[in-house]
Amino acid sequence: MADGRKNIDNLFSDHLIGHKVSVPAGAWDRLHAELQPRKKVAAFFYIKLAAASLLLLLAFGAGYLLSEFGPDKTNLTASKTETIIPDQQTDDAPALSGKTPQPEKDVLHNDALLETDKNMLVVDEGQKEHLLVADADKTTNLPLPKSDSDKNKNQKLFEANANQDDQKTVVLNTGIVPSKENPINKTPVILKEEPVAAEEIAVVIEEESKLEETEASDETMAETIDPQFTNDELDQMTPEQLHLLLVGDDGYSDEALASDQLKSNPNWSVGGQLSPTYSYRNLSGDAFQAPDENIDQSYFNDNENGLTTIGGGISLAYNFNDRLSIGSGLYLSRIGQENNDVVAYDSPDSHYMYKLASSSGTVTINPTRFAKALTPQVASDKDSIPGDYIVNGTFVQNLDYLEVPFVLNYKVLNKRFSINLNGGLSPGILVNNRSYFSIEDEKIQTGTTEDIKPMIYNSVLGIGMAYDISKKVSINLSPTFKYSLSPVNSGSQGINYHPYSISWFTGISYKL
Amino acid sequence: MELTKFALVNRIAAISISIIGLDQEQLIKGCIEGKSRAQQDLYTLFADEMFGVCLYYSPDHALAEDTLHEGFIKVYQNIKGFKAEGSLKGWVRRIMINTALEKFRKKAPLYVLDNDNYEDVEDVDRESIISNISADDLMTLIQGLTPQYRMVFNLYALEGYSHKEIAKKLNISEGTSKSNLARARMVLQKKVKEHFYISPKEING
Repeated sequence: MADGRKNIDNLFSDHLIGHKVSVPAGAWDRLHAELQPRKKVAAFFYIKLAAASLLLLLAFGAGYLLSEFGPDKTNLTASKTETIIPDQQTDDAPALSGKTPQPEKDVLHNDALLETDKNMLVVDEGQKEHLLVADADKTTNLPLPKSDSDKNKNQKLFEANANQDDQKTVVLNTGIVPSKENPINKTPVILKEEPVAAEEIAVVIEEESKLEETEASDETMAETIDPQFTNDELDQMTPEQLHLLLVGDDGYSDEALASDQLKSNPNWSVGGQLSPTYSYRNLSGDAFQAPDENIDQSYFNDNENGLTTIGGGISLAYNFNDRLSIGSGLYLSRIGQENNDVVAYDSPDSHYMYKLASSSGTVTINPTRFAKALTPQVASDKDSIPGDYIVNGTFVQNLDYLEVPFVLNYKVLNKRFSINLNGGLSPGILVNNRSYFSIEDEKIQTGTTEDIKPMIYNSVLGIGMAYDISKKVSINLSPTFKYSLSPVNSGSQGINYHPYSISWFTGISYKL
Repeated sequence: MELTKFALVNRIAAISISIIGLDQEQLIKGCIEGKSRAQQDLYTLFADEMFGVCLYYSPDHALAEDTLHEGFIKVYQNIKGFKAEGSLKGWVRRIMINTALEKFRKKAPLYVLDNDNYEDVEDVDRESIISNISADDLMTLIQGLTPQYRMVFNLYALEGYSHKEIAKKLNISEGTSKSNLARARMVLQKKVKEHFYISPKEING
C-alpha cells in the first residue's frame, strides 16, 4: 500500500527539505530573555561557596574519621607474655573512602566542520569571477556521502549534473555573494522563498585579505555548514539515504533523548553526611555489683559525662513523590562516655589485674602497664578503692557502630528551601569497643568494656532542613535524636545502659 | 594560468575551512558556557531552516513558532551532549522534530479515522505539475492534513523514517502507520491534481 517512495513524496521533499522561512520578528528576543539566568548571581555565588565549604568539611571529616576510627598506634596494652587483656578491636573500624568523580570532559572535534569543504564558489579578486568547481569525473549513481571527502565529491558531482557539463572546471559569472543581513532583523515575511538550491550550494570564499571578514560572517558560516542537495539528487535517494542525510549520524539517538528525560525525574538520591554527635546514656537498675561492694547508680550519674564525637557516612534515599521519601545508607557512629573519677577494684582471680567499674560494664586493666595512670592510693573513704591504686586521668569508653537506618522522611515545607520531619529505626552492628585513659596528651588503651551486645537498635526522630542549590544537588542540616530501644549491655552486673545521642547530620545530596 | 588559479582557490578554501571549523567548535563551546553571543550565532545559523521544519510539523504559524522556541531551548540545554563527529544541523533538526512530536502527543485529541472513505488515487505525474509550484503551496497542503496524517507523512516522506520507526515514535502499529501514509498521500495527491496540474488550456496555449 505504501511501500517505496512515490512521486507525491518526492514532490514535497524536493520543495520542503532545506526550505527556509524567516523567523518572526522578536522570536530571538523572546528566546534570549528566557535563556538569561535570573539575577541571582551573587546569591548563587555564595551558595556555591557554601556548598564548596561543605564539601571541604566533608573531606576533612572523612579524613578525621579514617584516622580516628582506624588502628590506634598508641595502643600500649599489655604484652602477650604478661596479660590476657583483650584489646583486639582497634583494627575493626571500617574505612571510609571518598571518591571524587572526574568531571566528564566534553571533547569537541573539528570533524563536523570538515563537511564545509563542499561546493566552493570562489571569487577571484582580480577578475571578479566566481568559480564553480566541479568534478564531473563520476557517474550519475549517487551514493550517500559517508565521509567528508565523499560528500565533497558528491557535492561536486551534483553541481556537475546540474550544469550538464563534463569539464573539470566551470567558470561562472553569477555574482552570488552571501548576504550579510541578519535574518532575525528581517521583516517578518511568512513562508519566504529562498534562492534555488543550485545557487545555495555554493560557498563564497573571498580572497585572503578578506578571510577575517568571512570568519565573522554568520551567513557564510551557515552556508558552509549546511550541505545542500538538488532536487534531482533527492529524487534518487532511497528513504534510508534521505533519513541518514537529514537526521542520521548525529550521534544523538532518540533513546538518548528519552534517557535524558528519564534522568530529569529522579527517584534516587545519594549523598555524604557528617554528624557531630553528643551522646550519653540513661541508666536503669539499682547498683553495680562489684565483688566487694555495690556501687550505687548515683555514683555513675555524678561522675560520668557524655561524649562529643563525630560520625558520618553515605546516605541513600528513594523519593516516592515530592514530599515522601525513605532514607537509608551506611553510617559510622560513635557513642560513649568519660569519667574523671574512676573506681578501680581488685580482681579476685588475678593478682595483677584490676577492674574498672563503669555504668556500661567492667574494663580489665593491667596495673603494671599503667603506672602513670594508677598512683598509690592515699587512704580515702570517698574513693573506697579496695586496692592500692587510684586512677589518675580521664577514662574514656567508645562504642562504634555501623548503622543502616530506615527513616521515613516527609516534607512539611516543599519549596527550594524545604523542611522535613523524619522518623524510623537505625539498627547497628558493634564494630569497635574500646576504652582508654587520656592522660595529658597521651591515650593509653585499656581494652574492651565487657558484656556489650553486638547489636544496637535505635529509634530515630529528627527534623531536617534542605536547600536545593541546583536541580540535582542540595545541602542539608538535620538535628536528629536517637535512643536505643534496648540496653546495649547485658545488665548482668545490675545496671542497664540505654545510650542516646543528638546528632547534627549535615551534608550534601545528589539526585541521580 | 588556469591551473594556477585552481591551486590558489584550493589553498584559500583550505584556510577558510580551518577557520570555519574552529568557529563551530567555538560556537558549541560558547553555547555550553551559556554565552549569549554564541547562542545567537547558533540561532542565526539554523533558525530559518528549522522554522521551515516546524511549520510543516505544525497546523499553523503560531504553534510552529512555539515548537521552534521550545526546540531551541532544548538545543541549548542539551548541546553538551552533542557529539561533534555528527552533523550539528542534523542534531538540531532531530530535536525540532522530536519537540514537534512531543507537542503532538500531548495535545492531539484522538482521531476517529474514516475507514470507509478510502480510495486508491493514482500517483501524481511530475510533468503535469505547474513549474512554479512553491514550497508555501505545499506547506499549506501539509498543514491541512489531520495531525496524525501530517506526522506520518512527514516522518516517512520528508525524514525517511521507516514504518517501524514511525510506529515506535507515534506509539501506533506499523499497519496504522502504513494506512495513515496511504491516506495522507491520497489527500495530497487529490489536492495537487486539483490545484496544481497544468490545465489543458495551458498545455495547448
